[in-house]
Formats: sequence, structure tokens, C-alpha cells
Amino acid sequence: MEGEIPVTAPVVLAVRPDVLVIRADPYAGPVDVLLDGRRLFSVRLEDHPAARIPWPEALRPHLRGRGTIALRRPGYDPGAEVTADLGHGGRFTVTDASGRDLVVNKWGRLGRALGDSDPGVTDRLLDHAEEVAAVLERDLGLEPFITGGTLLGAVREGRLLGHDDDVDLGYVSTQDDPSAVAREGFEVGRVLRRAGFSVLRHSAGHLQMHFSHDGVSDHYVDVFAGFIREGHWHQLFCIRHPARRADLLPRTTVTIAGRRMPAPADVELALEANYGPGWRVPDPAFRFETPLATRRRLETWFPGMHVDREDWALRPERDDVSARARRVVALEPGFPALDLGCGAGADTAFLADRLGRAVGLDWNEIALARARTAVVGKNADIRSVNFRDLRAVIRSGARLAAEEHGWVVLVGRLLTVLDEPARDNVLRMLGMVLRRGGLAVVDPGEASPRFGAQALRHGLVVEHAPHWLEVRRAPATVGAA
Amino acid sequence: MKNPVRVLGSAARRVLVPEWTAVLHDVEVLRSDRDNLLSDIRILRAELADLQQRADGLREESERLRGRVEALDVDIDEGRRLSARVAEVTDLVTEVVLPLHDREIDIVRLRDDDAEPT
Repeated sequence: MEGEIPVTAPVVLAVRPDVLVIRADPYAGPVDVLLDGRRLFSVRLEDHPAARIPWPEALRPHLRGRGTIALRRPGYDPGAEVTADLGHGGRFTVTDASGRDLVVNKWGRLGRALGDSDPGVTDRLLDHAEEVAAVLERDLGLEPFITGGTLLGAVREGRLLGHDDDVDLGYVSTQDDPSAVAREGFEVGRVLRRAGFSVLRHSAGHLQMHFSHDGVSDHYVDVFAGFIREGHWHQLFCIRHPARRADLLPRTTVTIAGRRMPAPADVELALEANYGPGWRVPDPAFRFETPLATRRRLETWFPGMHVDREDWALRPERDDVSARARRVVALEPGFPALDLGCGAGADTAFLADRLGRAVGLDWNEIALARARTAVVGKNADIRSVNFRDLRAVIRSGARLAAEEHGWVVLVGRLLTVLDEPARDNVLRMLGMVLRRGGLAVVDPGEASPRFGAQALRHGLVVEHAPHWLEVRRAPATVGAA
Repeated sequence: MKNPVRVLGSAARRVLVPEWTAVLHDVEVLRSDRDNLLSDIRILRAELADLQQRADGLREESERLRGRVEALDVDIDEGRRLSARVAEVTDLVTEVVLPLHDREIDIVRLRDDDAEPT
């Protein structure tokens, strides 16, 4: 066609431990990087103008062994393969603990892609999405529809996108006040839990239901809250687009893999709101660039409760008993132990043995699993508590405070990795659980200069002891007006 | 009576330099123009000084407004954070603290003496 720029397959010139050296003409647009013929990650060439594509950070631990690397523009045949040898022997693979292939997803993290999964995953995902949607309709009268990448795949290709990893559901609340939408979001979580789903809360307006298959984690379904406010459709976590309720409801249907699924009334508007006007052109390197005005609204109305959790899961957890736990035992406190930030549970197990009972709290998913194993056969509980969630903190704190005794509390590697509201919630919990006596021991390196003042607001006093800070309930004052 | 030398000189100039009178006239016009331009320059300088003063004022106003916008942004974020906190606290109260009618009610706490407002 006259004026059309000829597109040639990009070529890998060299595979180095830090970068891929490439040649491409034109040097623009999205490109998939293939490992042994399967997509490993995607980039936009404009982001790497020096003809060098750095390996994504998430792949660094896997960069070893031999494999073939090629580049492919979406919709075109791949360029020539080159054999790469990154040393240390063996094959260059990127897999999870179950040996399943992983890709670098649009968040820069390793995850699974539907294109690498067995063909049955599409049916399993859609089955579960329909079950979730049915609960939202039946118990809350909501009208959920597919949104995000699921809607994009349905409209553009009539199937789930190969590089996607979930099904996205959204709904439009009848509320327009963000506070009311958030409260409704909490209720959505309760209803889905009661229905038996494994629910992970990312924010007041974003839930994730995880599903296993053959004993291993298989896929998940996202549920995003939406609402109309100030002439705009807002939907977690990146949509704020001029729209009326009638643009979204009543729902229409689209077809995914031969199955009819509910969709927003105006699917083109919904896709433009989500992906911009270029949504029709495939772009596996797509990354959300949410406008500041949208981010400020959605992230402040619905603050993230899941931030850092995946990073914490990657950090090494100690398996040995800490010197602090041994010192606490030497105090002979006469109370059970509460281990905040218990990690892999080495201290919790030790304290349960020496003090008769221990409870460990954490929010690191992998550490929690290890901690539960560590305390098997001991008088100990391991509980998952998100210190960013005030509701979880008060529920857990009340449950512990209801016991007819004080606690000796170890505050582990916790305060320095939490943000300000979460640190405040830790003190809130201490104020609750220490009401019948006991003390909390805090590493001085964990405490900010304002720690004492913050503690005071929760009825706590802080004293400096030789090895740590000791936190107790302040003596009751009388005569406060 | 006219000075014969001047008369003669004028005649000679008219013959030798016929443009002389026009030049003299032009000089007068140019002098007048120069005076007008100098006057304009004085006026423009005064206006420039006035504009510079206004620009300084606008700059100060702009700085003040920028500070105000930043403060308002912080306030808006705080309002939105409060919205999130209201949702959390309301959810706690409705789900955990209440419903009061499902619990033993401490009637002493509901005495008028302790109530606010009474």
C-alpha cells in the first residue's frame, strides 16, 4: 500500500546478562520477547532507544542456563531465534514452584499468563466469574459485568487475552458518595466470603477471588467497584471517564469463547475509558498511565490495603529463634506471648513452648504458611492480620483483649515497613491487648522519634530498657472532663 | 530692509542647493518628531514601570495562589482520606459495635446525666 512503512521482524543481535542488544526497523511499537518460543515479556521499543532492552528486574533471579530468544511484533511472525547461554548450566526457564511457566506481567511482576495455561483454564475462569457474578446479583442486587482486559479480549478477539491472567468484573454502585461506595465494597467482601470464596481485599473497592485447580493456585477473578459522580464513571483502579449511568446500564452481552457474558451497555465507551482511544490495536506492552486527577481520587478514596505484601513474600524469613524472644522468656512475664510480625513463626513456636501459649500475627502470605507449619502441635495460633485495615486490627485486637489476661508482645520487623496509618494501628492494637497488663517489647531501631507521643495517644507509655523499648498501658487517670 | 548679503546668500543657495529650504523644513519636522518620540518614550517608560509593578504584583499573587492550590490539594486529599476513614469506622460500628439491640444494654451509660447532648 502506498505510504505504508514496511515492518520487518526485529532481530536479537546479542543476549547479555544485563540486556538484549537488538535491531528493529522501524524502531517503534510493542515487541514480545520470546523464550523458547513463548512470550516472556513485552516492551515498547520507544522506551529503550539505545537498541538495548534490559532484562526486567523480576527475571534477574532466573537469568541462568541456555535457551532461545526471539522478538516478535504482535500480529507478525517472530524474528530469527538466537541461542543464549547465561551460564551456570541447565535450561533458561522461568517457572513457579509447580514448574508452570511464568511471564512478566504489566505490573513488572512474575505471574501466569492464560496463553501458557492448559486450555481448560478459560472454562474454569468463566465458570468462577459467573458464580461470583451470580452471588453479587442474588445477594446484593448488583449488576456485575465484565470489564478491563476481559472485556477487551471479548470485544477484540472473542476470547480471553493470552497475556492476561484473570477475569475482571465490575459493577456500578447506586451510591455516588465514595464513602458509601467503600462501605458497600466491604459488604461485597462479606457476602462473597459467606458464599465460600477465598477473598483477598486490595482496597475498599477492589477484591480478588483466588481459585485452585489440582491442588495448586490456578487463577483469580477481580471485582472492581464503580460509581457515577460529577458526570464521570469512576471504577477502581484507573477509570474516571465522562459517562452517565445509562452508558453502562442496563447491561448488554458479549461473547467469550462461545459463552455469553454480561457487559456494560456501551462497550466501546467502557474500553476507551479503560485503555484510551487506541484500544482496538493489540499492545501486550500496555501499561496503565492513570492521570493524576484520577489517581488522586481513587487512591485516596480507596487506599490500597495490599501494598507491599507481594514484596514481603519475597524477603527472607529467619528460621532461628531471636535473642529478643529468649530475653522475653527470661523475664518470666507470666502471660502468653503475642508475636506481631511473626514471619516464619520461629519465635512464636519457641514462645509457645516456653510461655505455654503464643499467637503470631503477620500479613506475609508465604511466611504465614511457614509459621502455621512451625507451630504444629504447639499451643499456638497463627493469624493473618492486615495492619493497614483498621477493621481487621480492631476485630483482632478485641478478640485478643477479650481474653482474661495480659500479654507479652514482641513487635517484630514491623513498624519500619509499615506506613503511618498502619503504624498507628499497631499501637491501637497494643492499647487494646495490654488493657489487662503485660508489656510490649519494641526494638529501638523500629521506633520513630515520634513513637512515644504516638503511643501516648493510645493510652500507652514507653520506657527505655537495656535491650529494647518497653510499652505498657498508662496508669488510668481520674477526673478527665 | 533685508540684509543684501543674506539675500544674495539665499539666492546663491537656491541656485547651488535647491533642496536647502526643503531640508530646513525637514529638519524642523524631524525635531518635532524627535520631541514627540522623546515624549512617547517618557510615557512608555512610565507605563513600563507601571506594568513592571503590576507584573511584580501578579507574580506575588501567582506565588500566593500556587501556595493556596497546594494547600487546597492537601486539604482535598485529607477530605478524601476522611471519606475512607468514615467508611471504615461506619462499617466497624455497624458490624462490630452495633447492633445495640442485639446485646445487653448498659442502661447506666444511657442516663440523661451522661448523655451529650442532654
